[in-house]
Amino acid sequence: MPVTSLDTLLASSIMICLVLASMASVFAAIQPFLKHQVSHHEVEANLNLAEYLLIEAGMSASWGSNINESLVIFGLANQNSPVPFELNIDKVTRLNEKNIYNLSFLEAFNSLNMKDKPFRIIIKPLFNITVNLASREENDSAITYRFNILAERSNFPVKAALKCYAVIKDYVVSCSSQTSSLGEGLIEFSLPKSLSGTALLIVFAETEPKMLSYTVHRFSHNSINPPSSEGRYALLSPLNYTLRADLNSSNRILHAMAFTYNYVFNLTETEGDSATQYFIIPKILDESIMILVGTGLNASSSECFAEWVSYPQIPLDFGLGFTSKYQLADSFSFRFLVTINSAIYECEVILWGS
Amino acid sequence: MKILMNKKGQVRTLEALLAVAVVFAALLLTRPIYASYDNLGDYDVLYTMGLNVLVQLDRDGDLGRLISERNWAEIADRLSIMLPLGVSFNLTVYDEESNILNDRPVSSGLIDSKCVVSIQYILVDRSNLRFYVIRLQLAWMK
Repeated sequence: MPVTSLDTLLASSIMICLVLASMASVFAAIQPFLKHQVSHHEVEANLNLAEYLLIEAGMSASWGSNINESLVIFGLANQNSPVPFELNIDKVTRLNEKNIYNLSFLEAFNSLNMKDKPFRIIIKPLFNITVNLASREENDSAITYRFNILAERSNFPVKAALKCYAVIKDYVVSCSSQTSSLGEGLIEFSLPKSLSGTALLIVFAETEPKMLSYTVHRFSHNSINPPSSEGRYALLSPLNYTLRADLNSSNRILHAMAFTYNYVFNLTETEGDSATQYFIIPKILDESIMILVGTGLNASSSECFAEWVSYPQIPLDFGLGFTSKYQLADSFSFRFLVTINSAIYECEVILWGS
Repeated sequence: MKILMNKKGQVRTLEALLAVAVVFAALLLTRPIYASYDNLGDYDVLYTMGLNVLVQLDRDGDLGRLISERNWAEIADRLSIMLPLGVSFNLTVYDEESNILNDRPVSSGLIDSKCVVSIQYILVDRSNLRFYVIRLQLAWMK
Protein backbone atom coordinates (compact mmCIF):
# COMPACT_ATOMS: atom_id res chain seq x y z
CA MET A 1 0.00 0.00 0.00
CA PRO A 2 1.45 3.36 -0.98
CA VAL A 3 2.34 5.79 1.78
CA THR A 4 -0.22 8.32 0.48
CA SER A 5 -3.04 5.85 1.00
CA LEU A 6 -1.83 5.13 4.50
CA ASP A 7 -1.70 8.84 5.28
CA THR A 8 -5.18 9.37 3.84
CA LEU A 9 -6.49 6.42 5.80
CA LEU A 10 -4.93 7.81 8.98
CA ALA A 11 -6.31 11.31 8.34
CA SER A 12 -9.79 9.94 7.53
CA SER A 13 -9.77 7.83 10.69
CA ILE A 14 -8.80 10.84 12.76
CA MET A 15 -11.57 12.89 11.10
CA ILE A 16 -14.17 10.17 11.78
CA CYS A 17 -13.02 9.85 15.40
CA LEU A 18 -13.11 13.60 15.68
CA VAL A 19 -16.68 13.83 14.39
CA LEU A 20 -17.83 11.06 16.70
CA ALA A 21 -15.99 12.59 19.68
CA SER A 22 -17.38 16.05 18.98
CA MET A 23 -20.91 14.65 18.66
CA ALA A 24 -20.52 12.86 21.98
CA SER A 25 -19.02 15.96 23.61
CA VAL A 26 -21.70 18.29 22.31
CA PHE A 27 -24.38 15.88 23.47
CA ALA A 28 -22.73 15.61 26.90
CA ALA A 29 -22.45 19.39 27.15
CA ILE A 30 -25.94 20.23 25.94
CA GLN A 31 -27.92 17.45 27.58
CA PRO A 32 -27.61 18.76 31.17
CA PHE A 33 -28.18 22.29 29.88
CA LEU A 34 -31.47 21.26 28.27
CA LYS A 35 -32.39 19.33 31.39
CA HIS A 36 -31.51 22.36 33.48
CA GLN A 37 -33.78 24.56 31.38
CA VAL A 38 -36.63 22.27 32.36
CA SER A 39 -35.58 22.21 36.01
CA HIS A 40 -35.21 26.02 36.06
CA HIS A 41 -38.80 26.36 34.96
CA GLU A 42 -39.73 23.71 37.48
CA VAL A 43 -38.09 25.74 40.28
CA GLU A 44 -39.95 28.85 39.15
CA ALA A 45 -43.28 27.01 38.94
CA ASN A 46 -42.83 25.44 42.38
CA LEU A 47 -41.76 28.78 43.86
CA ASN A 48 -44.91 30.40 42.49
CA LEU A 49 -47.02 27.62 43.94
CA ALA A 50 -45.35 27.97 47.35
CA GLU A 51 -46.03 31.72 47.27
CA TYR A 52 -49.61 31.07 46.22
CA LEU A 53 -50.21 28.98 49.36
CA LEU A 54 -49.09 31.91 51.51
CA ILE A 55 -50.61 34.90 49.72
CA GLU A 56 -54.05 33.55 48.82
CA ALA A 57 -56.89 33.35 51.33
CA GLY A 58 -58.45 30.28 49.73
CA MET A 59 -62.12 29.54 49.40
CA SER A 60 -64.15 30.06 51.44
CA ALA A 61 -62.00 32.86 52.72
CA SER A 62 -62.98 32.23 56.34
CA TRP A 63 -62.42 28.47 56.34
CA GLY A 64 -60.03 28.87 59.27
CA SER A 65 -62.33 30.42 61.85
CA ASN A 66 -65.55 28.80 60.69
CA ILE A 67 -65.34 25.01 60.88
CA ASN A 68 -68.76 24.62 59.25
CA GLU A 69 -67.54 26.19 56.01
CA SER A 70 -66.07 23.62 53.68
CA LEU A 71 -62.63 24.13 52.23
CA VAL A 72 -62.82 24.42 48.43
CA ILE A 73 -59.46 26.05 47.63
CA PHE A 74 -56.49 25.94 49.99
CA GLY A 75 -54.80 29.20 51.02
CA LEU A 76 -53.45 30.46 54.34
CA ALA A 77 -53.49 34.24 53.99
CA ASN A 78 -55.73 36.67 55.80
CA GLN A 79 -58.73 37.80 53.81
CA ASN A 80 -58.23 41.28 52.23
CA SER A 81 -54.77 41.62 53.75
CA PRO A 82 -53.03 44.79 52.45
CA VAL A 83 -49.58 43.21 52.75
CA PRO A 84 -48.43 39.86 51.38
CA PHE A 85 -47.43 36.92 53.56
CA GLU A 86 -49.81 37.85 56.37
CA LEU A 87 -51.31 34.54 57.48
CA ASN A 88 -54.60 33.99 59.24
CA ILE A 89 -54.20 32.88 62.87
CA ASP A 90 -57.01 30.31 62.67
CA LYS A 91 -56.00 28.83 59.32
CA VAL A 92 -52.50 28.27 60.67
CA THR A 93 -53.83 26.88 63.95
CA ARG A 94 -55.98 24.34 62.09
CA LEU A 95 -52.85 22.92 60.46
CA ASN A 96 -51.64 21.70 63.85
CA GLU A 97 -52.60 18.07 64.38
CA LYS A 98 -52.93 18.61 68.14
CA ASN A 99 -55.84 20.98 67.63
CA ILE A 100 -59.24 19.30 67.82
CA TYR A 101 -60.41 21.29 64.78
CA ASN A 102 -57.37 20.28 62.73
CA LEU A 103 -57.54 20.02 58.97
CA SER A 104 -56.51 16.67 57.53
CA PHE A 105 -53.78 16.63 54.91
CA LEU A 106 -56.14 14.87 52.50
CA GLU A 107 -58.61 17.79 52.71
CA ALA A 108 -55.85 20.30 52.07
CA PHE A 109 -54.34 18.21 49.26
CA ASN A 110 -57.69 17.78 47.50
CA SER A 111 -58.51 21.47 47.84
CA LEU A 112 -55.24 22.41 46.14
CA ASN A 113 -56.57 20.69 42.99
CA MET A 114 -53.11 19.53 41.96
CA LYS A 115 -53.04 15.78 42.12
CA ASP A 116 -49.30 15.45 41.47
CA LYS A 117 -48.18 18.00 44.04
CA PRO A 118 -47.94 16.76 47.62
CA PHE A 119 -46.64 19.41 49.97
CA ARG A 120 -45.43 20.06 53.47
CA ILE A 121 -45.61 23.30 55.47
CA ILE A 122 -43.42 23.96 58.51
CA ILE A 123 -43.99 27.12 60.56
CA LYS A 124 -41.78 27.91 63.53
CA PRO A 125 -40.29 30.88 65.41
CA LEU A 126 -37.10 32.44 64.02
CA PHE A 127 -34.98 31.00 66.83
CA ASN A 128 -35.15 28.47 69.66
CA ILE A 129 -35.08 28.77 73.43
CA THR A 130 -33.93 26.07 75.84
CA VAL A 131 -34.58 26.12 79.60
CA ASN A 132 -32.62 24.22 82.26
CA LEU A 133 -32.96 24.32 86.02
CA ALA A 134 -29.76 25.79 87.50
CA SER A 135 -30.60 25.80 91.22
CA ARG A 136 -33.45 25.52 93.73
CA GLU A 137 -33.40 27.09 97.20
CA GLU A 138 -36.04 26.46 99.79
CA ASN A 139 -36.94 28.57 102.84
CA ASP A 140 -39.91 28.50 105.23
CA SER A 141 -42.45 30.12 102.95
CA ALA A 142 -41.17 29.89 99.35
CA ILE A 143 -38.95 28.05 96.95
CA THR A 144 -36.60 30.11 94.78
CA TYR A 145 -35.78 28.76 91.33
CA ARG A 146 -32.99 29.79 88.99
CA PHE A 147 -33.18 28.72 85.38
CA ASN A 148 -30.56 28.97 82.66
CA ILE A 149 -31.98 30.18 79.36
CA LEU A 150 -30.26 29.54 76.05
CA ALA A 151 -31.38 31.34 72.90
CA GLU A 152 -29.93 30.04 69.65
CA ARG A 153 -30.55 29.82 65.96
CA SER A 154 -29.07 26.80 64.18
CA ASN A 155 -26.60 26.46 67.07
CA PHE A 156 -25.55 30.12 66.79
CA PRO A 157 -26.22 32.26 69.90
CA VAL A 158 -28.92 34.92 69.80
CA LYS A 159 -28.98 38.02 71.96
CA ALA A 160 -32.53 38.61 73.16
CA ALA A 161 -34.64 40.31 75.83
CA LEU A 162 -36.46 37.81 78.05
CA LYS A 163 -39.86 38.06 79.67
CA CYS A 164 -40.82 35.11 81.87
CA TYR A 165 -43.92 34.07 83.77
CA ALA A 166 -44.15 31.29 86.35
CA VAL A 167 -47.68 29.97 86.89
CA ILE A 168 -49.15 27.62 89.45
CA LYS A 169 -52.92 27.48 89.95
CA ASP A 170 -53.94 31.18 89.94
CA TYR A 171 -50.57 32.45 91.19
CA VAL A 172 -48.48 34.25 88.55
CA VAL A 173 -45.04 35.75 89.01
CA SER A 174 -43.17 37.53 86.22
CA CYS A 175 -39.53 38.45 85.72
CA SER A 176 -37.37 39.97 82.99
CA SER A 177 -33.81 39.35 81.91
CA GLN A 178 -31.74 39.09 78.75
CA THR A 179 -29.40 36.70 77.04
CA SER A 180 -25.79 37.70 76.45
CA SER A 181 -24.05 37.69 73.09
CA LEU A 182 -23.35 34.01 73.84
CA GLY A 183 -27.11 33.44 73.92
CA GLU A 184 -27.10 32.64 77.65
CA GLY A 185 -29.30 34.19 80.31
CA LEU A 186 -30.41 33.52 83.87
CA ILE A 187 -33.77 34.12 85.50
CA GLU A 188 -34.85 33.85 89.10
CA PHE A 189 -38.27 33.71 90.76
CA SER A 190 -39.98 32.36 93.87
CA LEU A 191 -43.18 30.37 94.27
CA PRO A 192 -45.02 30.05 97.62
CA LYS A 193 -44.93 26.75 99.49
CA SER A 194 -48.65 27.03 100.15
CA LEU A 195 -49.15 25.62 96.63
CA SER A 196 -47.88 22.34 95.27
CA GLY A 197 -48.07 20.40 92.03
CA THR A 198 -47.30 21.13 88.40
CA ALA A 199 -46.09 24.65 87.61
CA LEU A 200 -45.34 26.21 84.24
CA LEU A 201 -42.49 28.49 83.30
CA ILE A 202 -43.35 30.53 80.19
CA VAL A 203 -40.37 32.22 78.55
CA PHE A 204 -40.69 34.80 75.76
CA ALA A 205 -37.53 36.02 74.05
CA GLU A 206 -37.49 39.02 71.70
CA THR A 207 -34.50 39.87 69.52
CA GLU A 208 -36.04 42.67 67.51
CA PRO A 209 -39.58 44.08 67.43
CA LYS A 210 -41.98 41.45 66.06
CA MET A 211 -39.27 38.77 66.12
CA LEU A 212 -39.72 36.56 69.10
CA SER A 213 -39.74 33.01 70.25
CA TYR A 214 -41.10 31.16 73.26
CA THR A 215 -40.89 28.00 75.27
CA VAL A 216 -42.96 26.55 78.09
CA HIS A 217 -41.24 24.43 80.73
CA ARG A 218 -43.28 22.14 82.98
CA PHE A 219 -41.85 21.46 86.44
CA SER A 220 -42.88 20.08 89.80
CA HIS A 221 -43.21 22.60 92.62
CA ASN A 222 -43.17 21.61 96.30
CA SER A 223 -44.09 18.03 95.46
CA ILE A 224 -42.39 14.66 95.29
CA ASN A 225 -44.44 13.72 92.25
CA PRO A 226 -43.13 14.47 88.77
CA PRO A 227 -44.97 17.15 86.78
CA SER A 228 -48.14 15.93 85.10
CA SER A 229 -47.70 14.99 81.46
CA GLU A 230 -49.06 17.23 78.72
CA GLY A 231 -52.72 16.62 77.97
CA ARG A 232 -53.31 14.39 81.02
CA TYR A 233 -56.09 16.58 82.39
CA ALA A 234 -57.33 18.46 79.33
CA LEU A 235 -56.68 18.99 75.66
CA LEU A 236 -56.70 22.70 74.83
CA SER A 237 -57.73 23.84 71.33
CA PRO A 238 -57.94 27.52 70.42
CA LEU A 239 -59.93 28.70 67.41
CA ASN A 240 -61.75 31.89 66.46
CA TYR A 241 -60.65 33.54 69.73
CA THR A 242 -62.32 30.83 71.78
CA LEU A 243 -60.40 28.30 73.83
CA ARG A 244 -61.95 24.85 73.99
CA ALA A 245 -60.85 22.51 76.77
CA ASP A 246 -61.71 18.83 76.36
CA LEU A 247 -61.42 17.33 79.82
CA ASN A 248 -59.80 13.94 80.26
CA SER A 249 -60.88 13.50 83.87
CA SER A 250 -63.45 14.82 86.31
CA ASN A 251 -61.06 17.66 87.28
CA ARG A 252 -62.15 20.92 85.72
CA ILE A 253 -60.10 23.93 84.71
CA LEU A 254 -60.59 26.55 87.41
CA HIS A 255 -58.41 29.36 86.05
CA ALA A 256 -57.61 30.20 82.45
CA MET A 257 -55.11 32.89 81.46
CA ALA A 258 -53.56 34.36 78.32
CA PHE A 259 -49.90 35.44 78.32
CA THR A 260 -48.11 37.56 75.75
CA TYR A 261 -44.71 39.26 75.86
CA ASN A 262 -46.18 42.34 77.54
CA TYR A 263 -49.55 41.37 78.98
CA VAL A 264 -51.42 38.85 81.12
CA PHE A 265 -55.20 38.43 80.98
CA ASN A 266 -57.69 36.17 82.73
CA LEU A 267 -60.04 34.33 80.38
CA THR A 268 -63.77 34.28 80.95
CA GLU A 269 -65.60 30.97 80.80
CA THR A 270 -68.66 31.10 78.56
CA GLU A 271 -70.30 27.73 78.33
CA GLY A 272 -69.56 24.07 78.70
CA ASP A 273 -70.66 20.72 80.01
CA SER A 274 -69.11 17.94 82.07
CA ALA A 275 -66.58 17.10 79.35
CA THR A 276 -65.90 20.44 77.67
CA GLN A 277 -65.23 24.02 78.75
CA TYR A 278 -65.06 27.15 76.59
CA PHE A 279 -63.23 30.41 77.31
CA ILE A 280 -63.19 33.72 75.41
CA ILE A 281 -59.71 34.78 74.24
CA PRO A 282 -59.18 38.57 74.15
CA LYS A 283 -57.92 40.14 70.91
CA ILE A 284 -54.60 41.52 72.13
CA LEU A 285 -52.69 43.89 69.85
CA ASP A 286 -49.32 42.80 71.25
CA GLU A 287 -46.72 41.76 68.65
CA SER A 288 -46.42 38.37 70.29
CA ILE A 289 -47.62 34.82 70.23
CA MET A 290 -50.24 34.07 72.91
CA ILE A 291 -49.77 31.30 75.47
CA LEU A 292 -53.08 30.10 76.90
CA VAL A 293 -52.91 28.32 80.25
CA GLY A 294 -55.59 26.38 82.07
CA THR A 295 -54.97 25.38 85.70
CA GLY A 296 -56.95 23.45 88.29
CA LEU A 297 -56.77 21.18 91.27
CA ASN A 298 -56.56 17.40 91.24
CA ALA A 299 -59.41 16.38 93.58
CA SER A 300 -57.76 13.15 94.71
CA SER A 301 -54.19 14.36 95.36
CA SER A 302 -55.00 18.06 96.11
CA GLU A 303 -52.14 19.04 93.81
CA CYS A 304 -52.36 21.71 91.13
CA PHE A 305 -52.26 20.80 87.47
CA ALA A 306 -51.63 23.00 84.44
CA GLU A 307 -52.25 22.64 80.72
CA TRP A 308 -51.18 25.06 78.02
CA VAL A 309 -51.40 25.75 74.31
CA SER A 310 -50.06 28.50 72.06
CA TYR A 311 -52.25 30.62 69.79
CA PRO A 312 -51.42 30.46 66.87
CA GLN A 313 -50.55 26.82 67.54
CA ILE A 314 -46.92 27.05 66.41
CA PRO A 315 -44.49 25.30 65.82
CA LEU A 316 -46.27 23.02 63.39
CA ASP A 317 -45.37 20.55 60.71
CA PHE A 318 -48.17 19.83 58.26
CA GLY A 319 -48.24 17.56 55.23
CA LEU A 320 -46.21 14.72 53.84
CA GLY A 321 -42.90 13.67 55.37
CA PHE A 322 -40.57 13.67 52.32
CA THR A 323 -38.15 11.53 54.24
CA SER A 324 -37.01 8.93 51.73
CA LYS A 325 -33.87 9.56 49.69
CA TYR A 326 -35.86 9.62 46.46
CA GLN A 327 -38.34 12.17 47.79
CA LEU A 328 -35.58 14.34 49.26
CA ALA A 329 -33.76 14.37 45.92
CA ASP A 330 -36.89 15.31 44.02
CA SER A 331 -38.41 18.01 46.18
CA PHE A 332 -38.18 21.79 46.33
CA SER A 333 -37.89 23.69 49.58
CA PHE A 334 -38.60 27.41 49.88
CA ARG A 335 -38.23 29.58 52.95
CA PHE A 336 -40.42 32.60 53.64
CA LEU A 337 -40.99 34.99 56.49
CA VAL A 338 -44.65 35.27 57.38
CA THR A 339 -46.58 37.47 59.78
CA ILE A 340 -49.28 36.11 62.08
CA ASN A 341 -50.91 38.66 64.39
CA SER A 342 -48.03 41.15 63.91
CA ALA A 343 -45.31 38.67 64.89
CA ILE A 344 -42.86 37.26 62.34
CA TYR A 345 -42.27 33.52 61.90
CA GLU A 346 -40.26 31.35 59.56
CA CYS A 347 -42.25 29.26 57.12
CA GLU A 348 -40.80 26.51 54.97
CA VAL A 349 -42.84 25.14 52.09
CA ILE A 350 -41.66 21.85 50.61
CA LEU A 351 -43.16 20.67 47.34
CA TRP A 352 -42.63 17.41 45.56
CA GLY A 353 -40.98 18.00 42.19
CA SER A 354 -42.67 15.51 39.93
CA MET B 1 8.06 12.43 -5.97
CA LYS B 2 7.97 10.09 -3.00
CA ILE B 3 8.96 12.87 -0.62
CA LEU B 4 6.20 15.13 -2.03
CA MET B 5 3.53 12.42 -1.44
CA ASN B 6 4.72 12.01 2.17
CA LYS B 7 4.35 15.77 2.68
CA LYS B 8 0.70 15.63 1.46
CA GLY B 9 -0.03 12.96 4.07
CA GLN B 10 1.59 15.03 6.77
CA VAL B 11 -0.52 18.06 5.83
CA ARG B 12 -3.74 16.01 6.07
CA THR B 13 -2.76 14.74 9.51
CA LEU B 14 -1.96 18.29 10.51
CA GLU B 15 -5.37 19.40 9.20
CA ALA B 16 -7.08 16.73 11.27
CA LEU B 17 -5.19 17.77 14.41
CA LEU B 18 -6.05 21.41 13.73
CA ALA B 19 -9.72 20.48 13.39
CA VAL B 20 -9.53 18.64 16.73
CA ALA B 21 -8.04 21.74 18.30
CA VAL B 22 -10.78 23.97 16.81
CA VAL B 23 -13.62 21.73 18.04
CA PHE B 24 -12.21 21.42 21.55
CA ALA B 25 -11.54 25.14 21.72
CA ALA B 26 -15.17 25.77 20.74
CA LEU B 27 -16.33 23.38 23.46
CA LEU B 28 -14.13 25.12 26.01
CA LEU B 29 -15.47 28.52 24.96
CA THR B 30 -19.11 27.46 25.35
CA ARG B 31 -18.51 26.20 28.92
CA PRO B 32 -18.81 29.67 30.60
CA ILE B 33 -22.14 30.24 28.84
CA TYR B 34 -23.41 26.93 30.19
CA ALA B 35 -22.10 27.78 33.65
CA SER B 36 -23.90 31.11 33.65
CA TYR B 37 -27.21 29.29 33.19
CA ASP B 38 -26.32 26.83 35.92
CA ASN B 39 -27.61 28.91 38.84
CA LEU B 40 -30.89 30.26 37.49
CA GLY B 41 -32.84 28.39 40.17
CA ASP B 42 -30.68 29.94 42.90
CA TYR B 43 -31.29 33.41 41.47
CA ASP B 44 -35.05 32.93 41.66
CA VAL B 45 -34.90 31.60 45.20
CA LEU B 46 -32.57 34.36 46.43
CA TYR B 47 -34.60 37.07 44.70
CA THR B 48 -37.86 35.88 46.26
CA MET B 49 -36.20 35.54 49.64
CA GLY B 50 -34.78 39.08 49.47
CA LEU B 51 -38.07 40.63 48.40
CA ASN B 52 -39.91 38.72 51.12
CA VAL B 53 -37.45 39.98 53.76
CA LEU B 54 -37.76 43.59 52.55
CA VAL B 55 -41.57 43.40 52.64
CA GLN B 56 -41.44 42.11 56.23
CA LEU B 57 -38.85 44.71 57.22
CA ASP B 58 -41.02 47.47 55.77
CA ARG B 59 -44.15 46.29 57.62
CA ASP B 60 -45.77 49.14 59.60
CA GLY B 61 -43.29 51.60 58.09
CA ASP B 62 -40.39 50.32 60.21
CA LEU B 63 -37.80 50.41 57.43
CA GLY B 64 -38.60 54.01 56.44
CA ARG B 65 -38.39 55.09 60.08
CA LEU B 66 -35.03 53.37 60.58
CA ILE B 67 -33.63 55.01 57.42
CA SER B 68 -34.86 58.43 58.56
CA GLU B 69 -33.13 57.84 61.89
CA ARG B 70 -29.99 56.68 60.01
CA ASN B 71 -30.04 53.61 62.25
CA TRP B 72 -27.91 51.40 59.99
CA ALA B 73 -26.81 49.05 62.78
CA GLU B 74 -30.43 48.21 63.61
CA ILE B 75 -31.22 47.53 59.95
CA ALA B 76 -28.18 45.22 59.71
CA ASP B 77 -29.21 43.40 62.91
CA ARG B 78 -32.73 42.86 61.63
CA LEU B 79 -31.53 41.61 58.27
CA SER B 80 -29.14 39.14 59.87
CA ILE B 81 -31.90 37.56 61.96
CA MET B 82 -34.39 37.54 59.09
CA LEU B 83 -32.14 36.01 56.46
CA PRO B 84 -31.14 32.37 56.80
CA LEU B 85 -27.64 31.52 57.95
CA GLY B 86 -25.52 30.99 54.87
CA VAL B 87 -26.80 34.02 52.97
CA SER B 88 -24.64 37.13 52.97
CA PHE B 89 -26.13 40.55 52.27
CA ASN B 90 -25.22 44.11 51.38
CA LEU B 91 -27.79 46.88 51.56
CA THR B 92 -27.47 50.31 49.99
CA VAL B 93 -29.98 53.13 50.42
CA TYR B 94 -30.31 55.90 47.81
CA ASP B 95 -32.30 59.13 48.03
CA GLU B 96 -34.37 60.77 45.25
CA GLU B 97 -31.21 62.06 43.56
CA SER B 98 -29.47 58.67 43.65
CA ASN B 99 -27.08 59.72 46.40
CA ILE B 100 -25.99 56.93 48.72
CA LEU B 101 -27.35 57.61 52.20
CA ASN B 102 -25.69 54.93 54.31
CA ASP B 103 -22.33 56.34 55.34
CA ARG B 104 -21.17 52.88 56.45
CA PRO B 105 -21.78 49.44 54.98
CA VAL B 106 -24.96 47.66 55.97
CA SER B 107 -23.71 44.17 55.30
CA SER B 108 -22.77 40.83 56.77
CA GLY B 109 -19.28 40.91 55.26
CA LEU B 110 -17.90 40.41 51.80
CA ILE B 111 -20.15 39.13 49.09
CA ASP B 112 -17.87 36.77 47.22
CA SER B 113 -19.90 34.46 45.07
CA LYS B 114 -20.68 33.75 41.42
CA CYS B 115 -24.37 34.09 42.17
CA VAL B 116 -25.16 37.58 43.49
CA VAL B 117 -28.74 38.76 43.28
CA SER B 118 -29.67 42.41 43.42
CA ILE B 119 -33.16 43.41 44.55
CA GLN B 120 -34.40 46.93 44.08
CA TYR B 121 -37.15 48.13 46.43
CA ILE B 122 -38.82 51.52 46.34
CA LEU B 123 -39.94 52.93 49.65
CA VAL B 124 -41.76 56.02 50.87
CA ASP B 125 -41.31 56.96 54.52
CA ARG B 126 -44.79 57.58 55.85
CA SER B 127 -43.70 60.05 58.53
CA ASN B 128 -41.98 62.62 56.27
CA LEU B 129 -43.05 61.37 52.80
CA ARG B 130 -39.45 60.95 51.66
CA PHE B 131 -38.67 58.62 48.81
CA TYR B 132 -35.90 56.04 49.00
CA VAL B 133 -34.54 53.39 46.67
CA ILE B 134 -33.12 50.36 48.43
CA ARG B 135 -30.79 47.90 46.78
CA LEU B 136 -30.31 44.62 48.58
CA GLN B 137 -27.63 42.28 47.27
CA LEU B 138 -27.74 38.66 48.37
CA ALA B 139 -25.40 35.74 47.81
CA TRP B 140 -24.87 32.27 49.18
CA MET B 141 -21.80 32.16 51.41
CA LYS B 142 -19.02 29.89 50.19
